[in-house]
Parts: sequence; C-alpha cells; structure tokens
Amino acid sequence: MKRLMEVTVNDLRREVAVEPRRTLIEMLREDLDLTGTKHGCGQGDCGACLVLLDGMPVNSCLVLALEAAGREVTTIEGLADGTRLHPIQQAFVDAGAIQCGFCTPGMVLSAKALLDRNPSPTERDVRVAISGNLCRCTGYQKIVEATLTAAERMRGRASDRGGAP
Amino acid sequence: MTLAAGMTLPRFSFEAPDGVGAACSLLAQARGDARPMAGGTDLLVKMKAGLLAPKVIVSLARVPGLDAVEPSADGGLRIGALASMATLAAHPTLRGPRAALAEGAGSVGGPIVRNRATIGGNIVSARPCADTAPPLIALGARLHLAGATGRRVADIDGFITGPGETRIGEAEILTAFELPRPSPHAGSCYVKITRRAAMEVTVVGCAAAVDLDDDLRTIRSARIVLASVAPTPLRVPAAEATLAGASVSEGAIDAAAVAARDAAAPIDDHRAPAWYRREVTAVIVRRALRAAIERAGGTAS
Repeated sequence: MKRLMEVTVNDLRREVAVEPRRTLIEMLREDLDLTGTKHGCGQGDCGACLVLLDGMPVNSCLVLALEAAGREVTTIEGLADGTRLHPIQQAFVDAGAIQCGFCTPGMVLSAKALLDRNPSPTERDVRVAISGNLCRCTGYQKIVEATLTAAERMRGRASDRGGAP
Repeated sequence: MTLAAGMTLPRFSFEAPDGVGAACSLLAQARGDARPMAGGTDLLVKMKAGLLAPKVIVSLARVPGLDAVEPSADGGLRIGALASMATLAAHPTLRGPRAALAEGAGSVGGPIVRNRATIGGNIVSARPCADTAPPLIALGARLHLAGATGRRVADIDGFITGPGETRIGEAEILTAFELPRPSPHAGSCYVKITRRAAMEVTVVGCAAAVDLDDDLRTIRSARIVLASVAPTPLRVPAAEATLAGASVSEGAIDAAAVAARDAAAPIDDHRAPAWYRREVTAVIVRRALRAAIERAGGTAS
C-alpha cells in the first residue's frame, strides 16, 4: 500500500505517494522525473546513484524513499543556478572529466560533499572521497584534476567576497 | 520505465517506531517475519538478491539516541548500535587504546557506504570479514540487547556463532556496545589486507590490543583477533598466551604471529587462496602488534 510522504528535493518541498519498497532512486527517477541520478549496480558498489541526504553522500539505491521523509535531498539537478553551471560542473567540463558521463552525477556530488566540508583538499583527499564512485571509462585522473581546479576556483570566489564559501 | 529484475525490492510493510520497546514489540508480533533495519546497506542488498524477504521492516533510524557515542560513568565508552562507520572512523575517543575500532570502521567499504553502514549492522550481519568485529572483541566490548521481555548484556566474544549467525533473539535488538575503560598503558591497532584500497572485502584482518606494565617494557596482556580466516571472527588464545608477561621484543611479536598463523583456518575463494591467507596472517599480526605496542608507549627491551 502506498504511503504519502513529504521530502525536500533540491530546495523544493514535494509530496509523493510511495510503496514501502520504493527506493530513493526509484522515487527520484520515476515519481519525480529527476533522471540525472543514474542507476548502476543497485548494491551500493558503484556510486552512480549518489545523492546528498541532508548534505551527506549516500547511495540512493540502498535508501528507502520513506527513510527520506522530512529530510533534504540534493540531486545533480539541484546544482546549477539556472543555466549557469556549478563551479564543480564547469571544472568537469573544462578538464574533460566526462567521458561516457554515467558516473558524472555521482562524481560531481561526491566532489561537492568533499568541498563543502573541506575547501582545500589534497589530491589524496579527493581520491579517498571518490573511492566509492566507479568510472568504468577509467577517467579518474581528469576527475581528480577537475575537483582540485573547482576547489581552487571556489576558494578564489570566497576570498573575493571576503568570506568563507 | 521500470528497473531490471533483481533491482527492485520484494514487497514489505515499513515501520519506523520512535522507541526500542515499540521496535521489539513489532518484531515479536511478526514472529520471525520481520527484520530490524539500521543503515540498510546489507539488508537491502540481500533482499534485492532474493536471499531475504521479510514481511515487515522495522527501521531503527527514528529511535532517538541509538547512534550516540558517549562516555559511560565508569570511564568506559558507550557506542550506540546505529553509529555509522564514518562517525566512528573520525571519532576523537577512538584513538590510542581504542584506535583499532576507528581503523576497522574506517576500512569498511568506501566513504559513501560508511555514511550509512552501522556498527550494529556490521555485528548482527556477522560476516567473517566484518571489520569492526575483531577490534570490538580485542577491546573487550559488551553488547547491550533489548527484547520484548527485557534487556540483557552479553560479551561480544562468542556472540557471533557462524557466517550470518549470532546469539541474538528473534525479537531482540542490539542497542549499544560498551567498551571498558582502558588501562593506563594500552594500545590497539587493526590492519587488513585487501586487493584494492576501497570497496573491497577483507582478505585477512587482524586486531591487536595490548596492555603494558608501568615499565613500558613488559606486556601485561594482549588480545589478537583475526577476520576472514574462519567462519567467525577468530580470537587466538595461543598467540595471546605467548605475549602475556613477555618483554616487548620482535621475538615475542614473532611468536604471536606464528601462533596466529597456525590457528588460522581460512578457505580458498576468488579473493585469495587459503595458503596466502595463512601466510599473510603472520605478516599483519606483526604489523598490528608493533603499532599497538607503539601506541601504548612501549619500548623494546
């Protein structure tokens, strides 16, 4: 039997009726048409379905939709400001950190979660942060470079404004 | 579009009670057809694979305080069963004497999984490769369990009885772990071997915990516990006996490593052959012991 739940997705409050067995990724893709989140292994091994749940990266294939009730979800669709890409997205484009693109939403959100808590990561910090995200094109080098570039640009903007990001 | 078969979960009803008592009652009512859920990183994978099909899932996520990590009255540490691996890996109380637990928790899966996976789930799911089990046994953890008819405390040593098997009751919930106050010169370490640095299942793991005498040159007592070399986490009394009362020395460490290697009873699988697991057991027992002794402030005589 379906149950009604409220969840905030990309700053919008949504009401959704879901079966208990609905996973968070199924709710996002099929009930809310947010297909930027990709379904990979379905077992928490690949990170393609990564979203932020109250700011924390989780594999949305292993979270029940009902567990997200009353909480905040950020998907890749929530990053750009209108047509202006988020600095992490722009850095991925600039660095050529996208090959087939399937892992990209999860990678970008992993990078965002890292930079939100550590604006000045080392290369090793970045590699550890994305170690739950598989890129089957094996384009890790560019992804790491893009994340470090994004961090640098975001620090620059923060210091232009004279404050923390 | 629907997702491929094997990706969708079987049907169940979902409860998220706000108290341990209510959760136990729901489990009792379901008479074995219910499963408590913490982070879901193991349960939901098993359900997708068709290995489990509970009629009811009782989420523990909304029970207040079940994820708390706090000092207990007698100098010990109480760790809520729903504390995540990420929380424990970074926790300031899990250093020096208790470092093995942070290292075990911090080595489970990858960073995204560690945000959801819990220490309680790691113990109740009872895989031989569970990375928090050897540290908890080495540190002498006690388990707090709540059931429909009351609460009890159990020693973690012996709680896991086989792959996926524990002494937990059908309507019982593991609520917390209690670590005793460490002695003044204690140190611990967890070392594991995997084929990759992340998202990998442990080939062999070793937790070592040592208590030193005030002279910092004599080992008062030690615990050695292995992962992935037996159907359960394997405590090695023979290795512990060689260390008790011994002087801190490479010779003592070697003797313990050999005893642990001889006690290991691993299997061949696609991750590693049994002979490799045995040989590398000795290697990581040495590494874990050296680090534990160093953290305890020990010096070789």
